[in-house]
Amino acid sequence: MSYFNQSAFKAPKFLVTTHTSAQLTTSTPNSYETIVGSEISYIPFLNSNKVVYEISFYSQKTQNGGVLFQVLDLEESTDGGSSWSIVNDKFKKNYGNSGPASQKNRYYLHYRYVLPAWSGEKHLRLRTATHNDNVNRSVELHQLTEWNGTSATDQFCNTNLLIYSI
Amino acid sequence: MSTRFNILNYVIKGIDMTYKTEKFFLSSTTNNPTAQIVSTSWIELTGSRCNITLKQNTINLLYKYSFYTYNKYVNSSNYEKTFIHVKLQKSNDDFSSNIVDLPGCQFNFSGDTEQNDDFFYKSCSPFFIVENLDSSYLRLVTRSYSTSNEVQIHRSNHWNSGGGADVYYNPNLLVAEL
Repeated sequence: MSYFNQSAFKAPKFLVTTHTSAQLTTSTPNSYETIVGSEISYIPFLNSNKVVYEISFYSQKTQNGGVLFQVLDLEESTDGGSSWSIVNDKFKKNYGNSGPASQKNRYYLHYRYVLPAWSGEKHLRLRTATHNDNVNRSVELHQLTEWNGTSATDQFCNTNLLIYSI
Repeated sequence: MSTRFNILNYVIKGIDMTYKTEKFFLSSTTNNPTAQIVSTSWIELTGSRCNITLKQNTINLLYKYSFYTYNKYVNSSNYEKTFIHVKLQKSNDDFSSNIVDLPGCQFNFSGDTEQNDDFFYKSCSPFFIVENLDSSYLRLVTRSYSTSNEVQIHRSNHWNSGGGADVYYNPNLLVAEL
């Protein structure tokens, strides 16, 4: 007896990551780190043309002044995660606000990358770094330091990751 | 406007049996929505509520929604500074008495609240994956951080170089079983 899941997506695979602490990025320009919850391995559905990598996560800049201005790179690995390379420069993204030198921004981010399908297994992950500048641009990921009209220490936003074939 | 479908098929070949199991899918748009003013009480986002057909005790579900915000206009020298909380809730009685927040399905959304005048016009796209959902209803609710951070949802009073147009953005919802 066999079962086939009839989903709106071909071969969907997902990852929900809960958090109990903030992920603090560095202020050092071009010092990349992986967004916790963004890494996944995937084998595309047979004869698919595209793979969709879709992720949401939370980012804020509310402490120590400075600017929220980040760069994002989507990376891939074909050797099980030992070595990584940028998927394509066209998938580079910026987010934030390069304006005033002291900001308090709260961003909920949702990105959807449509990639050419491949054969075999690949690992994908999303990397973030501060934009190249001397203003304090470190950000806090995943933790909400305000909630329900007051400050908070125990509120977090899950990182949601979905990958599927089309 | 909404689209909802389920697919259920099974094939019997001799003693072998193949099942295609049913997966829930819903997509809907709320046309020409009335503006919602978000203040310090939680309110439901128009078009975010859905009724899910559970064919199993629990399912994994993708919940996507999009809406438009802009900082509430008070007068020509006073705009609020956008800062809202958003969270996903579930219910087994259409939010009559059973209302449960889904842990981690929440976020803050703001412009730069350090600025005196933060003219912040932006769409927002909640994207949540709910694991082991055991209830038939979901919705999004929102409130502002304070009375100085109120927001207008779905409509904008600025468009195409004019100030009087009442332009709206239809909120969209997609819910799919994974």
